[in-house]
Amino acid sequence: MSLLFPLYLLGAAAITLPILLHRRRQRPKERTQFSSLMFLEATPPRVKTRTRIENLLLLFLRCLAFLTLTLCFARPFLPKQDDLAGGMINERVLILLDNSASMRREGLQENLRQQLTERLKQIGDRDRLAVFAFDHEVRPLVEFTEMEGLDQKQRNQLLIERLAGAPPGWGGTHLANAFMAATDSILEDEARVGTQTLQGGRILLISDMQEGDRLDELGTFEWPKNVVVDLEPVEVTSTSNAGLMLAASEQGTLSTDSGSTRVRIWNSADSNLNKFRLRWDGDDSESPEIYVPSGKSRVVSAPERHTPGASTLVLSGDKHDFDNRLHIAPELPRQLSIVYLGDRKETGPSGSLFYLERVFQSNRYLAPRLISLKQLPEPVEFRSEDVHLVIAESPISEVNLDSLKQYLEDGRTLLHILNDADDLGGLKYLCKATVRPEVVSTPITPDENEFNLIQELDTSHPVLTSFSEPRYRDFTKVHFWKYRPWAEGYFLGESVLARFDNGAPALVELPVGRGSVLVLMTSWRPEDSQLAVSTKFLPLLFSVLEQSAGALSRTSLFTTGEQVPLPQTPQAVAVVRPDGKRFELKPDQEYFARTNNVGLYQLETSEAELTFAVNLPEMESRTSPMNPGRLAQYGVKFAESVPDTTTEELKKSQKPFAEIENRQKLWKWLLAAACVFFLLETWLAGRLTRPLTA
Amino acid sequence: MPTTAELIDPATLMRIRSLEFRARIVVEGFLRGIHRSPYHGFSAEFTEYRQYIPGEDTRYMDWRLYARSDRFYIKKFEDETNLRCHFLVDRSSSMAYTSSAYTKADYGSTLAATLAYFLSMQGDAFGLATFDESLADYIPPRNRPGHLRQFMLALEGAPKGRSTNLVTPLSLLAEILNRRGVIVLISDLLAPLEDLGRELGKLRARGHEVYLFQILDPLELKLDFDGPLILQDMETEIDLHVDPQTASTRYLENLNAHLEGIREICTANGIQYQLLSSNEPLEFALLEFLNSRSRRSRSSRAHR
Repeated sequence: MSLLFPLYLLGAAAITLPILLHRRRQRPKERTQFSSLMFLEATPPRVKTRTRIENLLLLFLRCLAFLTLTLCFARPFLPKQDDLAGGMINERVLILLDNSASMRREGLQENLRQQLTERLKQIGDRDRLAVFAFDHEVRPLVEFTEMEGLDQKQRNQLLIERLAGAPPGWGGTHLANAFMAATDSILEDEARVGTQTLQGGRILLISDMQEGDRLDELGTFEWPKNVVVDLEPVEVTSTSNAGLMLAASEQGTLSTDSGSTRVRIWNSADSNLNKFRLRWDGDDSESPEIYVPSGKSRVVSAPERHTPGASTLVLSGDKHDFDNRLHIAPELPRQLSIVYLGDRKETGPSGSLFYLERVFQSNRYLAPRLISLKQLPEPVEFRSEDVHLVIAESPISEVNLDSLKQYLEDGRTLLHILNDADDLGGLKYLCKATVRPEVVSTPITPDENEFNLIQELDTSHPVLTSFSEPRYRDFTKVHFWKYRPWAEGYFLGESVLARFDNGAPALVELPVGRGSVLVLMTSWRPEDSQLAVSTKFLPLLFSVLEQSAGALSRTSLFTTGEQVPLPQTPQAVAVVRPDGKRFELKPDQEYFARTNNVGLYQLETSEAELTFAVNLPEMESRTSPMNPGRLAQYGVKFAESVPDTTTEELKKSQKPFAEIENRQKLWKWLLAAACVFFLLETWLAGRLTRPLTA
Repeated sequence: MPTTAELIDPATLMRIRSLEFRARIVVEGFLRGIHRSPYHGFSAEFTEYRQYIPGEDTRYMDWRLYARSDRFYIKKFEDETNLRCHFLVDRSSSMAYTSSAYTKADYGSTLAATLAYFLSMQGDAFGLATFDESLADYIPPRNRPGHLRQFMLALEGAPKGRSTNLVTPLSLLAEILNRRGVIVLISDLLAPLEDLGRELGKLRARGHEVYLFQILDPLELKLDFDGPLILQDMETEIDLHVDPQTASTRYLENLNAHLEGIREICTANGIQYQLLSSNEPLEFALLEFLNSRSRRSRSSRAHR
């Protein structure tokens, strides 16, 4: 039998107490009543040590009770050889190193390394160890499996090597992600090694513990029972900081124009600095001082650009400059060419072109150019990259068909206004017609005296998605006086996107190559309908344009770790990061996720080169210390006590014995035995000291 | 006469809660045992006639006997011939002492009740006076239905008095009792004896017959404790460290001297004295009482 706390055995010395008491002649304590003392004379009691111990059974019981209780406190256990020799794991520790942008502050990296070294000393060879670094993403530096079989020195060597390749990044502190990845890793290791040897583990978080840490995802995360967190805040000399972020312009949008760029300067509550300056990078001219009281933020207009092409605003006057640069990508309106192909006699407000000219106007994002043609260039000269949308009135001249077919097969869209039900010659050329007349339905002809309304809309189609919300789907105010009947099923792959209230198709899509033809059975001319003067006209035409030309609006401001959506049309080819690294993109890639650096990124497409800016997340500037209570609110379990360096060795040596003792729990039996002995002693003592008088 | 084996063990008797029932058991058992006994109690005097002596009051002449036998005989008044017995019972704190299941007071009460029941069977009047420091309760001697019950009720319950003072109650009783009678004093007599002889002498001088039953616990007679202990006086509540091994000799000397003093007083005053240990059967006391009465009757008849 072994003892977990052998020092408690000193308590066994307490059994000398009952022995001494039993050797001592007891002074009578209780009074015995007697009828009269008139015949008695006082005889002083003799109190001296007895040579012979009386009440041996009582003494034996008392000593036994004391000994059992002492043994109970000493926590005995029966060590089994297989427990000790079987390579017991003491502890499973996963170290989470904060690698976020806020760790770029002066001196923090040194402090982090120093504190990590100190903590590594407390982790023994028999502990399982893994080290992860995290900012907005989690990167395992060393996995549990890599540390297996290495002694402390080898572990430290490996860790130093890996740390050298992991300088602090530019990401935000996504602590919730880090915790979830760490617990997953611990539980995976537990499942791999087996729960019999060691359950759960400890996450040692070495971080600056700033209040801007993201914890939201922990709200829906169920924290594992046997995983605890041990916090090791990195020593920070100064937590005060000022940050810079783009603010909405007066029009309510984020503007990157030099004239209307507005930025918000934020100053931390514990800051003792309140005067800052804002300038464009590369501009040496003196800018006015901006007063921002501590704990407040202030929105100011960016100073005028003196250097053409300057794209970075710099805040000066702050102690920590990791978040003092705001990159702004210059936004140029997208050049779009729209071809109107038609030869109609109507001109002015009674014609189609009149309204198209008014729809496609230039704005900040788009610079559309409407070209009215009667004949397209030859296919050799006609490049689909130069024409983003073709709107054609029927009938389509035969000379245009080849060019259009090429245009469609390149993935563009043709909006075809059907002016006569019989003008299907061009369409038959462009699209494949069915060979089975029996599947073609009878066209529904319009009633001369009635108008029609659009009733059924396939809002799942990209062209009509903008009408998916019920409040935008109301077409009852748009009257259609005339439409051309359409025989459904004649073309292969046709799909009806919209129908009139009598069931006749209003808008039909016919696929051609990678592109498609949208056939409109009516037109927006006043003689046909009220479409041109309705609120549905612009969304419809811009949706058709977007389908043909690709995304029209494109955000150019992102934060680190954010996924940048890539345009499909024109095709995105590659992204060049600010550090010059080029990432080739796959043809079907939808997002670019390697936004690890701040700065301007170049997005190369088949058409042109676009620029987008990646900045620090706003919350990363909030460097005030976080209250650990916030973690507790999200259900994070903390280690009961931070391991003490001085007694760590002792604790470590006791750990496997504690496990064995905890399983056996012999102390409970000893406690029960002590209770029984005390009860017996009480009963016996009561019996022996029963008063003489009843 | 019952043998010792047939006598009722006091410990068994005391388990009966009703004092009256206890007394009846003792008396009836006793009477059954003395079925052929020549003793008839005090009532024998009732039936006695004596010849008329010239000069006596003719009011007590038995005229009916004169008519039958032509002789003058005097018949004593019923009132006069019947016994008037006073029980003087000690109810002081010391009487509450016991080393067994019942106290000396229980034993004394049962003794008084037994004698009273016996007397009530013979139609004699009996009264009760309890005392501690002074006279506590007093029930005048009567012989009528319900009196025995009242007598028993007065004897029930634990003693409430403090110390024992024999002189004052005896002095008061001597003043109250203007007729001769029998006085039965039941007490442990654990009090100084200075004036006891004088007061008892007064009672005797007034013509009362006095019977003294001293009741002591067996432990009081031996002081047989196991080890050293603190003894507390039940009357004065004074504590005393006592080692029985060394103190018992001196105690027994003092006790015997005290008992001898009582005997001397009783002998000097013609008082019937009996020391009773509370574990002795009550029949002994009853037998001794009747024996004494019988001896006294015979001697009085002899004197006549």
